[in-house]
Amino acid sequence: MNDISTIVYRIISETLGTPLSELRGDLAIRSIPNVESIKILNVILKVEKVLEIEIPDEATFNLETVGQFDQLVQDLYTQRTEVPSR
Amino acid sequence: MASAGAACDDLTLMRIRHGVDVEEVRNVAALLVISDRARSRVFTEEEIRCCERAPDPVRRFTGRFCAKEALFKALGRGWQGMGWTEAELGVDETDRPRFVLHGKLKARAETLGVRSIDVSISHTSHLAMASVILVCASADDGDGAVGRRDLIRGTRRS
Repeated sequence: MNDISTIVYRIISETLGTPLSELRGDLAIRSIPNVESIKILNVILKVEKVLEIEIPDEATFNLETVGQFDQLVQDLYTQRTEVPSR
Repeated sequence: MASAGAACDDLTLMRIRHGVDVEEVRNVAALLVISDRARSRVFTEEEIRCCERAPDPVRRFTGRFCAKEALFKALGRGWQGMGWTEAELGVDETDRPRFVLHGKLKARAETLGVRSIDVSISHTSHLAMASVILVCASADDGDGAVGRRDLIRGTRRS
């Protein structure tokens, strides 16, 4: 797990109250106990703030698992930090 | 899209969709202070102005949050992929809450044949809830389900 994943998983764990040891990449977000859309929005806003990225609403359309969310964040973070080539 | 109260020409083709949501005021309060972007992520500029003018802005924000959630449910989709600001809640000339839809939400409503949207919001000091009722002209729910119009006639096809 890289640094970005560590941050993403920690925020999910703290916000949803799920032990870090129980979070796996293939875990369906909707299957996490007590998950509510306001908590998921909470996760998104915290990740955006900590990593200084913006997660477009439309990018969340097909998200089903924790791993897919992690990958989306990784991609957006990479895009943000990439230096345009000349 | 017609205003609330519009009727369909043929009641046997009418379909009702319903969504409801309840939130704790403190949870929305916590959400709004996560970042500078939090408010504009969920609410339009006009909604923010309107809520901030209210005697208890957080309670007002919570009611609107519930209304949007209830609308998403009534449209048969969760929040995912839907822009929170694509559902803008204002008030009509009689001060009743009224949705104006944009973008994907508007397209979804058109697919479902939504003719009217009725929204009701209620608060206590620590809770808000909202109920959204859609009257749809089409018996097709946009997801391939059929047969519900027969419930209106008293018979149901499987």
